[in-house]
Amino acid sequence: MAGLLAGLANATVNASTVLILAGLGELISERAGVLNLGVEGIMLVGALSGFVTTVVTGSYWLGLGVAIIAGGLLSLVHAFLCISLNSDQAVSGIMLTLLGTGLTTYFGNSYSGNSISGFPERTIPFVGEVLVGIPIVGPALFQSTVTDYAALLLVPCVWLFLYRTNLGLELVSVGEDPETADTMGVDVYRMRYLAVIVGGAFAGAAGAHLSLAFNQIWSAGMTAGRGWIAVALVIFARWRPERILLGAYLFGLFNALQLYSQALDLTLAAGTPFASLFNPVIDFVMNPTIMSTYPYLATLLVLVVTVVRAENRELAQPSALVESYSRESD
Amino acid sequence: MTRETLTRRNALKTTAGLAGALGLAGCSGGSGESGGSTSDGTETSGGSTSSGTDSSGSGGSSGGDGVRAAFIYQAEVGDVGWDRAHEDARQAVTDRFDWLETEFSEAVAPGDVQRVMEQYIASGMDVIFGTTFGYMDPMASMAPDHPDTVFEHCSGFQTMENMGRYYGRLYQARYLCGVAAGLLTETNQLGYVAAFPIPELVRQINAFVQGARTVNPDVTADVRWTNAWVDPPAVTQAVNALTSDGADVINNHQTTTAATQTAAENEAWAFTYTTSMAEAGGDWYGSSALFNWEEFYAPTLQAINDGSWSSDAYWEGLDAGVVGVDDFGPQVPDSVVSEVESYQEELVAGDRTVWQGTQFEGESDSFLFGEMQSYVEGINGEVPSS
Repeated sequence: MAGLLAGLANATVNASTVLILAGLGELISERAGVLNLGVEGIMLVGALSGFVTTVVTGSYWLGLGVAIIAGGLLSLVHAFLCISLNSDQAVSGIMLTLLGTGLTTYFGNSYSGNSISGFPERTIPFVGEVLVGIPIVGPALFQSTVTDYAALLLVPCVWLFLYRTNLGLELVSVGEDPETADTMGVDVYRMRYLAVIVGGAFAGAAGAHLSLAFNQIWSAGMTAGRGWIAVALVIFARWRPERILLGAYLFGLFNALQLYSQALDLTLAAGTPFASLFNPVIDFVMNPTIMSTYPYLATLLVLVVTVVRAENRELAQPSALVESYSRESD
Repeated sequence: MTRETLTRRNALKTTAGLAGALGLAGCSGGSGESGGSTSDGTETSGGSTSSGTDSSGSGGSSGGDGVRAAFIYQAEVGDVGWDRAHEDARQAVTDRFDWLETEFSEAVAPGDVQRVMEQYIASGMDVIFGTTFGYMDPMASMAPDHPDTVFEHCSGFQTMENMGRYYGRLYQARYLCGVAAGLLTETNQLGYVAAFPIPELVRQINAFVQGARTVNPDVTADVRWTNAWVDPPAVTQAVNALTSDGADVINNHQTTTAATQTAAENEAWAFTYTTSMAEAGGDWYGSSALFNWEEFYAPTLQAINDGSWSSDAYWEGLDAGVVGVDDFGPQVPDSVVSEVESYQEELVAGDRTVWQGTQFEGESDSFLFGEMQSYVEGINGEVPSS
C-alpha cells in the first residue's frame, strides 16, 4: 500500500509540473484581461525548439532559454492581434494552437526518435537526503528536475507579484477595469503586452519541461491536450495562483489514478449483496476513458459551485477578460 | 451498347464535361449534379470520360510501360513508427524496380484523403496505397468510380473488385518477443502500455503474454491503457507505475520511444513495435516486433505490372516475412536469442501456433482480426469496454 501511495504521489507531482507552468502563464495573461487559447500550440513550439536546441548545442539550459523565448515570441503574435488590432481573442488563440501543432509536426519530423540527455533529477543540496527520506512524498517532491522545483517556486513568486507589487496590482487592475486603470495612469497596452508575452514564456517553459526534463524526446503532438487542461485549470483555480498549485495536483492526481487504478480490482466480489447492482457502476466510473474526463468534470463542478454561491467578485473571473480595450479619444 | 447508353446518362456526362471545360474558362458552375462523379472543377472533363461505369476504353495508362504508385500516410513520416515502416518499404521498392515510379503524401487526414486520391488518379496513378484505418471508407466509396485504378487499403476489412486489403500478423512477432520476455524476466511480471482497447491491440497483448507463458508458465502481466496513440508523458507514467509494481519487462503500443526510454531508465527490458527503437532502449533494449512492408508491396506491385493482380485480403505473417523481430539488444543472452529462433522456425513451419492452449485455439481469422476482446490467462484484470 505504501508503495502504491508513493508511486501515486510521485506520478501526481510529475504530472503537475507542466500544468503549474502552463497554468500560471495562462493566469497571468487572463489576469490582464487577455484569454490565450494558444497554450497547447505554444507548449508544442516550446517543446520542439527546446529539444532541437539541445540536440544541436548539447546544452539543455540553452534549450530551456530558447523555448522560453520562442513561447514569448509566439504569444507576441497573439498580443499584437488581440491588443493592438482588437481581434477576437478566442479565434486568435485557437489559430495559434493550430499553427503551433502544424508547424511543430512539420519541422519536428526528423527529430522524432532522437534522444538527448536533458535535465537530470537532483536533490536539494545539504538537506536533500533528509527530505527525500520523508515517507511517501519525499522522493516525489525532493528528487526532481530543476524545472519541477522552479514550477513550485514560481507559485509564491507569482502570488507575491500579483498581490504585493505595484506592477502586479497594475496588471490585475488592467484585467478588471482597463478604463479606470488608464485614467489612473497605467499603460493598458503595455501591461497587456507584457502579461501575454510572459504568459507565453511560461507555456514555452512548460513545453520544454516535457521534452527536456520529463520525457527527453520529441514526438509530434506530445502535449496531448495538456494545454487545454491548463486553460481549464485557471478556471478551476478561479484565477488565483495558489489554487493553480492545488488544482494542478488534483488534476495530476486524476491523471495518475487513471494509470495506477488499472492495477486494482475495486469491483465487489460475486457474493456481496448488491454486487450486480454496483459493479457496472464501478466498472464505468473506473473505465480509463471515463477517468480521463475527470479534470474537466471537476472544472465544471467548480464553475457550478462558484455561480451558485455567487462568491465575492474578487475571487472570480477578471471583469474585463476577453474584452478588447481602445481609448475613445484615439 | 451504342444507342441505349447514348441517351440520358451520356448526355448528362457530356453536359458535365462541357460544364467542366467551361469551368476552366472561369465560370466554375454546378457540374456536381451529374450522378456519380462529383469532382467538379478543372479535371472533370478528363475524369468523367475515363470513369464512366462500363466504358471499355481500357487502353489508358499502363500496358507494359511500368507502374505508378501513390502512398498516402495519415501522419508525417518521422524517424520511427507506423508511417516510417511504410515509407522505408516505399523507398525499397522504388529502388528495386526500375519500371516503378512512386509518390507519397503525408499528414493526410481521412477527411481530405478523397481529394488527394482524386488528384493522384487524375495524374494517372495505377495503384493507391492507403495506410490507415480511417481511409477505408473513402477508398471504398471511390473504388467503383475508378475501375482502372487499383486501391489497396492497410488494416481495414473491406474489399472490392479493384480494392484489396492488407495487413500483417504482427502478433506472431509479438509472440516471439514474449518468448524472449518470458526467459528474461526475473520477477515474472510483465508490463504492457497500450493505447485503445480494440481487438488489434488486445490480440498483440495476448500474443506477447502467451509467448512468455509458453516458456515460463509463472509469468503474469499487467496492462495500462493510456487512451491516446501519442502521449509520451502518459506513457512514461504508465511505465513507472508498471515497474514500481515489479514488472521488469515492458512492451508498448504507442508510436513514441517514450516507453522504451523510460523502461530502460527503470532498468526494465524494453520491447516495442513497428520499427526498431534500439537507440532509445540502450543496454535494456529487448527487441521490436517489426513490419517489413516491402514483402507485401514488392509482389503486389509486380502483380500489377504483370497484369495478374486481383483483389484479396492479405493477412500474412512470419512465413511471408512481412512481419519479423528486430535484432536483439546488446545484453540479451545468446541462449535467449537461439530459443526465440527455434520458436520462430516452429511457427513458420506450422508446427506451432500462437493461440494453441488458449481459449482462441482454432478461431477463424475473422474472429482473430476483428473480434478478440478478452485476455488470455495470465493477464490481470479485464479488457475495458471501448
